[in-house]
Amino acid sequence: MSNYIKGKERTADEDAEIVSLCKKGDVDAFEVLVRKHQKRLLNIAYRMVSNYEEACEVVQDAFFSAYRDIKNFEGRAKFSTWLYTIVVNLSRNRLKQLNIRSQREGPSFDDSVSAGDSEITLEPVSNEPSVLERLERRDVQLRVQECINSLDSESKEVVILRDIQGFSYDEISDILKIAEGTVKSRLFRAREELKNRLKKMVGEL
Amino acid sequence: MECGEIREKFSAYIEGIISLEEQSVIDEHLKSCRECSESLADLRKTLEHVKNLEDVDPPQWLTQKIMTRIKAKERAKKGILGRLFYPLHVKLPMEVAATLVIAVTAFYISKSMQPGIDLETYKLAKAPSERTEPQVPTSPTSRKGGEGGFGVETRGKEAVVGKDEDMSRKQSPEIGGSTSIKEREESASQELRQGYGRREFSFEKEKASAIAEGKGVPAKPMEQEVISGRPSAIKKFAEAPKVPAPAEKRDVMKASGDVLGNKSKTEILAHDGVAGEDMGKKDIESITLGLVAKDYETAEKNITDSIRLLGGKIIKFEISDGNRIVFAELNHGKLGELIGKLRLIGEVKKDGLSLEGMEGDVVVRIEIVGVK
Repeated sequence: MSNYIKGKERTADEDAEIVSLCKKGDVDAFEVLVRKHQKRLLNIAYRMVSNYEEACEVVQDAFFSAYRDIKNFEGRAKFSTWLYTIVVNLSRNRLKQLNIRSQREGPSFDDSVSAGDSEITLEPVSNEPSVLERLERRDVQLRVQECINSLDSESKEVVILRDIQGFSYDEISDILKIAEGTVKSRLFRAREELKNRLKKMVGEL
Repeated sequence: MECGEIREKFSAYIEGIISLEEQSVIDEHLKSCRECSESLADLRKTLEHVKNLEDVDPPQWLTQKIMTRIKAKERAKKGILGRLFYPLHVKLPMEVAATLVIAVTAFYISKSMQPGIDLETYKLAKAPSERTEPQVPTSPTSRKGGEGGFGVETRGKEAVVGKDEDMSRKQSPEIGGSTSIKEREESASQELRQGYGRREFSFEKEKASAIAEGKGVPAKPMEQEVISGRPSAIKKFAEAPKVPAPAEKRDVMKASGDVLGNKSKTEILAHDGVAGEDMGKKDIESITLGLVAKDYETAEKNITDSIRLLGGKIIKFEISDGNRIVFAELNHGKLGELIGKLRLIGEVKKDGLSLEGMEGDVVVRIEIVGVK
C-alpha cells in the first residue's frame, strides 16, 4: 500500500533540471539519471523478459534510446515515466523476439533454470538462516515468476507495474498509454488469473 | 450480491479503493460464504507472493557500459563534425570551394591560352637550331580559332587536303612541270598575291569563304621559318605595305613565301582576281638577288646586319632546294647600297635587275647559293 501512496505523491518531475542539462549535451548529467533509474528499469525488464542478461540489454537500449531522443522529451509526463514507457516497450519487443526464437529452436531446458540462477545470484543475503527456508522461498519465487510469465502480455504488464513495482494507476495509465479504468479492469482480471495458476501449480497457497 | 459479483470486487476491496457501502456488503457476504472467504485469502496470498519477489540489482558494469556506449556515440558524432569543420567550422567546405575555384580557374586559363598557342607562337619560341626543320606556317583561320584550319595546318607539309593542293596548282599556271616542292612554293606564291596589299580582315574573310566553300586551307610552303623577334615587321608588311611601320600581326607575313620563284625579276604583287578594292594601291615590289657564299651561316648573318644597317627589316628566312633565302624589307633607295654590301660577302647575281621605277619599300629576296 505504501508504494501506491508514494507513487501518487510524486507530482513534480525531480529530474527536470538534470534533463535540461542533458538536452544541452551534458553527458555526465545523463549518468546521474542512469544511476538513479537503472535498477527500477532493470527490474521491470527482468520481470517482463524473465532473463537477467536480456534485461540488462534492454536497459542499455532503453537508456541509449532515451539519450538519443531526450531533445524530443517535452516534459508532459515525468522523465521517469517516459523512461518506463521506453523500457516496457523494449521489453515487450524483446520478449516477442525471444518467443519467436524459442519457437524456432524448440523448448529450451535451460530457460527457466537460467532465470532462477540469476535470481539466486543476485538475491540479497536473507536474514533467514535456514537453508531450507531459503530454498523454499526461492522455489516459490520461481513458481510465481513462471505464473507471471504465463500471463498474456497485457496482464503481465499491469501486474508487474502495479503489484511488483507499485506504480499508481495514474502512472500506469501514463506508462502504458491506456485509460485508468482499463488499467484497473486488466489488473483485476490478471490477479484472478495469477491466483488460479499459482494455486494450480503449488496446490495450497 | 452473488459470489461472482463479490469476487470481482476483491481486487479493489484489497486495495481499499471501494466505497464504504460496497465494502460493508462484501464484509457481510464473507461472514456467511466460506468459499468467497477462501478465495479472498488466496488472492491476498498471491499478491503477497508477487510483492515478495526480490528485486534484482543491476550489475556493476551496467552504468559504465551504458555511458561508454553513449559517449562513444557522442565522440563519433563530434569526431565526424570535428574532422569536417575543425578548427574553423568551415574547413571542409572551404577546402572544397578552394579546390573547385582552383580547378575552374585552371581550366579557364588553359582554355583561354589554347588559342594563343598557335603554330606561329610555337615557331617564334623555337631555338635557331630547329630552323632547318620543315615548318608549316599558320593561316589566318587558325587565329580565329577555327579547328578545321588549325588541324589542317598542323599536319605538316603533307597535311594538305588534296583539293587544296589541286587548287594551288591551278592558281600557279606560270610554273609548270616543277617538283612538288616547287608546286607548293607556287601555291604559297599564289597565296601571297592574294594576301599582299590587302587589309588583314579581307584576307581572313577570303580564307573563311574558301573554307566555307570546302576548299580548306591551302598548304603553305614547306621549310618556312619565321625568325623570332620579328613580329612587328610582319604585321607592318601585312597591314600597311606602303607605309613602313611596326605592326603586330604575323598572319599575312607567312604568305610572303616564295614571291618570285628563282627568276631574277621585279614583279608587282597584286590581287589575283579577288576583291580588287586595293588593286594598285598597296602593292609592294619585290626583287630577287642571288648571293654565292661559302658559308651559309656567315652569309646569312652578314646579310642580316647589312639590311639592318640600311634601315631595313628582316622578314623571314627560308630554306629551299638546299639554299637559304633571306626575305627583307628595304627602301628602294637603299637597294644599291645593299648590293654593294652583298658583294663584300660574295658574288651577287642580279640577272639584269633594274632598280628604276621603284617606289617606297620593296621586298628583297636574297637567295644564298653555296660555292660548288
